Amino acid sequence: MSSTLVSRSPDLQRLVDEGYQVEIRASQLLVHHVPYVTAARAVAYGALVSELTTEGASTSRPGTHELYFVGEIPCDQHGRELSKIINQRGPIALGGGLTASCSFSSKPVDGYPNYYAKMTSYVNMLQGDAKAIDPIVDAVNFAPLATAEDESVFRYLDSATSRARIGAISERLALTNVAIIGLGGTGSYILDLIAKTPIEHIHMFDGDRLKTHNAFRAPGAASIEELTAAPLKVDYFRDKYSPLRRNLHAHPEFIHAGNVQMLAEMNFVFLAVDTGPAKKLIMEALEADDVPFIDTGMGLYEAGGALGGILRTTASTPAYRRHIWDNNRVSFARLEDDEYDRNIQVADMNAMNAVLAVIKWKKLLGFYQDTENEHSISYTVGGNDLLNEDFRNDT
Amino acid sequence: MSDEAQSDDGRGRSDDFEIVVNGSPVTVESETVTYEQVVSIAFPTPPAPDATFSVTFRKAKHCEKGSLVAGQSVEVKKKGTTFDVVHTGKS
Repeated sequence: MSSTLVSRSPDLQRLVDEGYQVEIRASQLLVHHVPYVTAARAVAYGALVSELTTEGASTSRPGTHELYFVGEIPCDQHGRELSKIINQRGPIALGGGLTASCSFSSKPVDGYPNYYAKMTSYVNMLQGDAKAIDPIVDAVNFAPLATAEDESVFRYLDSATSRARIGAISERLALTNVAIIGLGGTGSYILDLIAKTPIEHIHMFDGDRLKTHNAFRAPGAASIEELTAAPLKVDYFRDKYSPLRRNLHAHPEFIHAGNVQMLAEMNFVFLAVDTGPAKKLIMEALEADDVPFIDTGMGLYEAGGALGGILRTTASTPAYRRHIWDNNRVSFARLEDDEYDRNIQVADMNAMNAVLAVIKWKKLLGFYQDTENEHSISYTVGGNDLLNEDFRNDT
Repeated sequence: MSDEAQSDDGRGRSDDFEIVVNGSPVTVESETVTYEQVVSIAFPTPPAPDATFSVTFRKAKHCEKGSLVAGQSVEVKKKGTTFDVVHTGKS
């Protein structure tokens, strides 16, 4: 309830966006980490506690100009109590297990118009003297605001989106079920990016275990202990990204004829598997079930002591999917391990391939402009060339 | 379908064209280079019967950059048109 209230109340959202440590507890609005000066002329941190008046799903005008303070009796920089604003003296029991030492009353002529004005006014009454002693202290610390299970897929408020005010645009990405097939180099970077979007459920499919060489092509940094444990890739990545978001589903299996029907429920699928017969099976099933997908693949070679090659990103939607077959965009042949297939992959190439795939996904959902509607993308590293083809508007 | 490409045998004929395929210079006799041609230059032995390849090029005669699929071709400059031919199958 509280993060919804915040997102629907501009005054609360502004407090969060500007970095105040906000909490809503027992129908009260708290701002933690407020610097003040104690009677001993030391800087300490306290919390402001205000009633919270709401109307429907958002705040309305503050019901009173007064609020409570959790901490010692605050003073100015010389150790003299701020008697001009101190009203009641405690201890005063508040809801949510809090005990205030005093209450403040400082009323502007027409009262506080909103909770941003109210809380920041009192913050400034206290922290000015604290800053006189230590200029660095500040109530603003951009602490995370935890969310409840049913409030958000993220475990803490996505203030990046709110600060940039792209919440409405971001909502376009809130698909119910998205799958990543293959959590190798490219798949793991795809996960890293889409985990930060408001997709409800992310499903990861991969039957492999994480091995040492995988660590050099994955985001983040696995430890020796983690690698020694040889976890299933899907378990490792679920655990790595769970601190950020909920609803990461680990499926420790490869997709084959016996389980491909699981993909029918997906709203979108990212394919990041090495080429083979499975890829054709998956694509045919996705097409039959009208599921849009993006396939990724790279080929790198060594020549003259440097690496060259091409990264390929191919999008397919129910509105446009013949290009894969008509133009042979995707190979389904499995190359045997030989001199042609040293399986050269490099983390930045995996990441670039993943980035191109995620950008294209966001374009299809209207998050980014998509003026040309390209469905086939290639990046050739030697010439730094990005090439677009298979345009849906072609007649 | 054009003739298969000739590898450079040192004769250096004035009507040859020099292209680069996967980092290696190659001499071809025709100004028109096909998908099949560059694939067979890059992979003299087909790595798999049903393999298809991503082919991109830059600095062609009429075109700064582009790609080829099976059956397509492009006109190359006298020297410098560069091709990448890979099996884009790794993830």
